[in-house]
Amino acid sequence: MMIDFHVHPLIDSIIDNEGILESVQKIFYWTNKPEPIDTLLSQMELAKIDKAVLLPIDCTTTYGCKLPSNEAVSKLVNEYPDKFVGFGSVDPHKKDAVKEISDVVESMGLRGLKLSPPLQKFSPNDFTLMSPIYKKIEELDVPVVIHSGMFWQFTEKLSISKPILFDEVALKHPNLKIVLSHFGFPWIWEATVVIMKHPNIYVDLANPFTTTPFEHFELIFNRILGKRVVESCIEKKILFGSCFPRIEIDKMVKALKRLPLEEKTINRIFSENAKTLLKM
Amino acid sequence: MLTEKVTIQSKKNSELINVTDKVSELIAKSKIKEGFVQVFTLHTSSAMLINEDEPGLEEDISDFMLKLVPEEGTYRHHHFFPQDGRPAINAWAHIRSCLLGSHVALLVFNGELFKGGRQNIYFVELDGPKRRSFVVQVVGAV
Repeated sequence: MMIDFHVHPLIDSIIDNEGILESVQKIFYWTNKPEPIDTLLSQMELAKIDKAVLLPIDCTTTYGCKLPSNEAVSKLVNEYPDKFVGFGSVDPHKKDAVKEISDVVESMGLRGLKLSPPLQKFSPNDFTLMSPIYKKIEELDVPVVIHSGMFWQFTEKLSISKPILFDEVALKHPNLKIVLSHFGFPWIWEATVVIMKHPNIYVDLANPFTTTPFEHFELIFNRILGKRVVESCIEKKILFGSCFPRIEIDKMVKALKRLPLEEKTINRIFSENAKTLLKM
Repeated sequence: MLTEKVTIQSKKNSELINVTDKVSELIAKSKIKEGFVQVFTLHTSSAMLINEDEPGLEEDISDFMLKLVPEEGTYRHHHFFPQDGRPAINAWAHIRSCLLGSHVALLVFNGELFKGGRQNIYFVELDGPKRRSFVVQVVGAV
């Protein structure tokens, strides 16, 4: 079973129903025409992705929008239960954020959380704000995908998404299962030491920020880290993610398969690690 | 004159989609008896083409384009575009589109397409799967 751990469910029907086109363009910086569900399903089929993890972002306090709502994710999962695993998002600035986390997981049946420091404007090590949230997610024993590394929001400092911040998060919340998205690019070694040190921190591979997916993966796996480090030290801590709709899923899959990594390692990245995290 | 946008869904990376029936339908709708029809794709990573409707040939054309303009290569177009919120990883699709062309034009006679028996109109997907659109314009005398 191949799993894409990083899909934004920003398809045309959801964008229309929720009236969020302007927010998708101006806040999420996605200016291409939204694609329908058929495009997402066809891209998954072509790439042989069996399941995609859907990641919304609740930006209510910061931008007055949800990209999209947890309800939209839940509805899509109910329509395609074999295809999607739904995560929810909560606005960490809301007073009832902790209660909402329980609702998302226990009532809506969503299987994890997604948070974004640049879009939700928080620092991962602002423990006054974040500890109650981390604690609740830890209690519920579900994973949380948190943006790390490069982003394009011109209003925020890149330093709020450095992987090393999660060293302190993991020390305070050792049972919190965190996925640092985008491998923390460009702080690849920082992300690597954090996932090597902390048993409950993972990275995903979403979005090639440099050139092509293959060149980006080749840069990370061959030129920065090297095959031996990947295969011997972190192969159980990497998850495949595309970042649809920012990139076609099959382009990411093809690129990863072209890397000269052991088949066992590739299988862990595409399948086994995500299955472990999702308890599948 | 009739001008209409047609939307279709591609399912593969590279695919020939026969749209002849749709164009014929729009010619009938226009009630134009004698003139011409132009079909334009609205995407620079797709093309329009006239060729024979034979599945093997459709695959041959797709495969030939893959060989002619390979995906592996150093293309300057391949980088992240912040204004789009995504990287462009499809220079080869744009180049294939340049080689195939973005439109076809055919004659309309007696209210029908005036074409050879084996000629069909194809929308050529070069960077799918995606939702795609093309425009059909029928011009002439009723």
